[in-house]
Amino acid sequence: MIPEAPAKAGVDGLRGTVKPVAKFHMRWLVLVSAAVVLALGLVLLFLLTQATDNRQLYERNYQLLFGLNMVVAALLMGVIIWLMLRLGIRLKQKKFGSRLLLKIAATFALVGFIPGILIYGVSYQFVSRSIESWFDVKVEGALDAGLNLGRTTLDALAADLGQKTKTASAQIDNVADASLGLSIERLREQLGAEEVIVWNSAGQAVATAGESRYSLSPDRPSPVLLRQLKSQGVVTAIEGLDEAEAQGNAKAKIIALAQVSSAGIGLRLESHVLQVNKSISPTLVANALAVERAYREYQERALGREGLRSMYIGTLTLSLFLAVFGAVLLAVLLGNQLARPLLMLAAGVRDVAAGDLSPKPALQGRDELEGLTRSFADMTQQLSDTREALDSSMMQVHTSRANLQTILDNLTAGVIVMNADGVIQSTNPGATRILRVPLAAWEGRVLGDIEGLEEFAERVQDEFKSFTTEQAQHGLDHWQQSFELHSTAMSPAVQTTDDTRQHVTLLVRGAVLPNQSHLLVFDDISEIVSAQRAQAWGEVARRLAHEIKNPLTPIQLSAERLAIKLEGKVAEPEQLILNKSVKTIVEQVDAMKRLVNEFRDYARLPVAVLVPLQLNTLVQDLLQLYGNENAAVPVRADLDPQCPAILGDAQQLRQVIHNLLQNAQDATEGQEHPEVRIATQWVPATGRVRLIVQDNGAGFPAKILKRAFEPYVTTKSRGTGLGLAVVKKIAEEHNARIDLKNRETDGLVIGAQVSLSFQVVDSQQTQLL
Amino acid sequence: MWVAVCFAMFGALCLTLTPLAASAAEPAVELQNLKVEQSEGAVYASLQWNFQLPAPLEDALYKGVALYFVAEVEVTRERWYFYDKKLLSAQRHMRLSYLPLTRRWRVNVASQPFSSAGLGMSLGQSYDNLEDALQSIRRIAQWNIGNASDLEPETKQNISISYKLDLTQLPRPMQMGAAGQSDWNIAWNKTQRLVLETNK
Repeated sequence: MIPEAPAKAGVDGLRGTVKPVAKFHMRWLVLVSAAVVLALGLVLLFLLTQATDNRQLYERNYQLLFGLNMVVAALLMGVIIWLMLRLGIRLKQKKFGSRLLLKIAATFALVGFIPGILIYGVSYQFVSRSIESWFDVKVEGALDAGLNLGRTTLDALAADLGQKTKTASAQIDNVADASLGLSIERLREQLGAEEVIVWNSAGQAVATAGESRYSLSPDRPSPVLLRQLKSQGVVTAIEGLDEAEAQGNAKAKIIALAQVSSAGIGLRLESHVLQVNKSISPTLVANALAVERAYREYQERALGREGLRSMYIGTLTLSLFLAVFGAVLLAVLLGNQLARPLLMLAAGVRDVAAGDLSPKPALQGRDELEGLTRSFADMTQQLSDTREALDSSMMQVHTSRANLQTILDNLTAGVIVMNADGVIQSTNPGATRILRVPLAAWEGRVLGDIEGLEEFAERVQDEFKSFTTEQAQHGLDHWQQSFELHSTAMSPAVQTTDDTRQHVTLLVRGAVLPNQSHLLVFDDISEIVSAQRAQAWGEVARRLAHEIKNPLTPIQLSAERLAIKLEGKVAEPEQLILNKSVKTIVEQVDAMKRLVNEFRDYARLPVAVLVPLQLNTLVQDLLQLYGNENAAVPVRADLDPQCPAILGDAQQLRQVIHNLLQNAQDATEGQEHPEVRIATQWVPATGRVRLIVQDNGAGFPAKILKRAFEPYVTTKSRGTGLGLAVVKKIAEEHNARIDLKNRETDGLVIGAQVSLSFQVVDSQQTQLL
Repeated sequence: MWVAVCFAMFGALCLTLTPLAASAAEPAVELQNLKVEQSEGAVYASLQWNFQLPAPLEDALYKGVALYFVAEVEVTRERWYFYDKKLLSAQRHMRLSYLPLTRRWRVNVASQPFSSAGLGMSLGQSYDNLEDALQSIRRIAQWNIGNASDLEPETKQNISISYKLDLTQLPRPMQMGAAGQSDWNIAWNKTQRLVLETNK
C-alpha cells in the first residue's frame, strides 16, 4: 500500500527501497481489488436487470445470487479488515506515511459511507412502508366480502335448485317409469335446467331429458353425493368450477339430487333419484373466479409479506454493503494513489534534510502532485550537483593547500606568519631549522618572548613599523634586510668567547598579507656569506702575495748584503747586534715568504686532473713519511682492501692527506696518548669510497665547526687557517663530499673527524653512460 | 475503530437475514410402505408416506395457496468404476389446493412440474375435506415407473426414493418467506437396495 509501499507506503511499500517485493505486493493488491470490484459491479448489474426483466430466471437464481453477493461482501470485508490490520500494524510500527494514508482513507471512506447510510435508511423506510401499505385491512375485507358474495350466491342458487328439485321429485312420485320421460321433460322446462335425469337404485338412468338424452351413459352422481342424499333427502353440488378455473372455458353447473319417494307400493319396487343439472351463468362464474383468484393472490402476497420484505431489505442491505465496502476499498486504494506522491515527497524531504542527496524517484503523471515530485527530484539533483561542485572545489582548495603546505615544509627558507602584535600564527619546519627553536610549539605566542630572539623580534617589528609607514609613500610590497643572530660583529678570524652561541646570518624579507598578518621569510645565508668571504679572501691573498712577495727578496738580499759588507767593519758589540738583526730579518722574510706562498697556493690551486688511482696505495705511500721515526704522533691506518679505484689528482690528494694529518697531529698536541687514525672505506650503498681522518684531540668549538672551511679560521695559535680551506677546495674539484664533525661519546667531545667521499671510476662511468 | 464499525455492519446484515437460517423441529416424514413389483413388462411402485401437515401450511392452504409435492423414484445400477447408471426414473408432481368458493379440496397429479405444463395435462380430483385430499397425496399406488426390460436384475440395483414439498413452484415472495423455515421443509429421501417382487 505504501510503497512500501510505497512509500515505503509508498508505502509500504511505498518504500523505494520502495522495494520490488513491496511494489509487486502493491500491484497484486490493486489488481485483485479491481477484479473484485468489477465482479461486484457485474453481479449487481445482473441482479438488477434480472429483477426488472426476467422474473422467472431471477426467482430461480435468487438464492445463488444472494449467496454470491454474500461471498463477495465477505471477501470485500476480509480485504478491508486485512487492509486495516495492515494499516494498524504500520501505525503501531510508526511506519512512515501511515498516518497520512489513514487520514485520506478515513476521509474517503466517510465520504462514501455517509451517503450510503442515508440512502439506505430512506430506502429501508420506503420499502417497509410501501410493502405494509399493500396489505390493507379494507382491501382484505373487500376481497373476503367478494368471495363470500360469490359463495353465497352460488349457495343460494344451489339451495334454490335443491328446493325446486325436491318439489319436482314429489311430482313424479307415482309416475310410472315409462311415462317418466314426458314428466321430466316438463320438469326441465319448468325448472329451466339443462338436464334432468332419473336414476334407479342400480345406478342406471331410467329417464333423461335435455342434452344428455342423446348420450348413452350420462355421468352418474358420485357415491359420496348419493350417500349424503340418503341421509339428507336432497343434496346439491357445484361442478366444473375447478375446470373453469383451470381452463377458463369449461362450463360450471349446479347438480341437485332428490330422492323420489316410492309412495305407490307395488307399482315401483325401488326408489329413484332425480338429478337436475343447471348451468350457472358464465358471467357469474367468471366474476366469482376473478374474485377468488384475486383473493388467493392477495393471500399469497400477505403470506409472503415477510419473505418479500426480507428479500427487498436483504438486497438493499447487501447493495449497501457492497457499495460501502467497495467505497472503502476504493478509498484505501485511491488514498494510496493520492498519498503516493505526497509520501514520496515527504520521504524525499526527510532524506534531503538528513543530508541524503541521492537521486529521488519521480512519478510520470500529469497532475500537479506528480509534477511536484518531478520538480523535487530536479531540485534535489541541482542541490546535489551544487554540493558536488562545492566538494570538488573544496577538494581542490585542500589539495592546493596541501601542496602549498608541502612546499612550505620543504622550503629551505623559514616562513613565519605573525599578526601585527608579533604573535606567531604559523611557521614552517624551515623556520624551526634556521632559528633552532621549536617554533611550532610557540604558535599563538609572541615571537619576542622566545629566548634568544628578543632582539630579532624587536628589529623585525621595527622594520614592519617603518615599512607600514613607508608603504603608503613608496608603494613597496616588501622589505628586505639581513640580520646577524647572536652576534654583533663578525671578523675573519673571530675568536669565539662563547662556544655555545652560534652565528647565523639571515636574509629576512617581510610582507603584509591580505589579512593584515605579517609574513616573514628568511634564509640562512651563512654559507653563502662564508663562500663569498672565502672568495674575497682568496682574492686578497692573491694580491697581497703578489704585492708582498716582490719586495721580500730585495729585503732579504739587502739584509744579507748588509751583513756581508759590514762583516768585521764594526765593533764587536755592533757586530753582534748586526748579525742578530740580519738573522731576524732573514728569518722573518723566510717566514713571510712561506706565508705568501701559502696564500698563493690557496688562491692559485691548479685545476685538478682526474685520473683513476688507488686511494689505498696513495695513503700507504704517504704513511711512510709519518712513520714512528719521523712523526711525533703515530698514525694508525685502517685501509679497506675492497676499495675500487677512484678518480683523483694524486698530487692534490696527497696535499689533502698531508693537511688533514697535520691538522690531526696538531690537534692532539698536549694529549697524553695522542692518536691519529686514517681509514678508507668502501660504501656500496652510495657507491663511494670514504677517506676518514680521526684524532682524539679537543675537537672543534661549535663556532669553528660551522666555518672551519673558510680561510683564516683556525684554532691553532700559529697557522694560516688555510689548511682546511685548501682541503675543501680540492674536495670540490674532485666532486667529493666533505664532512666535518666532532666525535662524541655520551655528549663528551673525544675528538674530531673529517671524512671525504670520493667518486669511484665505475660509478662515474655508469653516470656517464 | 473501523474494524468495529465493519463488524457491526456485518452483524446487522446477518440479523437481517436471520429468518433464512432459523432452525426448529422439522415435520417428520416417514415411508410406511414400499412395494416395487414387476408386472406385464412394467415396473410398478406402491408407496405410502405418513406425515402431518403443519399448521402454517394448512393455514396457507385455506388462504388459497396451492402446495406442490414431488415424489421421485430412481433405479440405478451400482458401478464401482463410474458413477451409477440410471436405469429407471419417474417423477410425480402433486398439487393440493383449496377452493374457497366451493369449499372443496382439489388434488392434481402430473408427471411434469405444473409450472411448465400448467394444470391442463394433469389429472384432477376434488375432495370434500382436507384429510381425504391429503390421503390421496400420501399414497401412491401402482405407479408405473418404467419398463422392466430396462432393469438389469443380475447386477446391484439401488432404488432412490424422495418425497418433498416443492418450494420452487411456490409464488416468489412465499419462497423467500418459506426459505429456511422448518415448517415448510417437508422432505424425505432414501436409497436402498431394490427388492423386486414379481407378480405375473
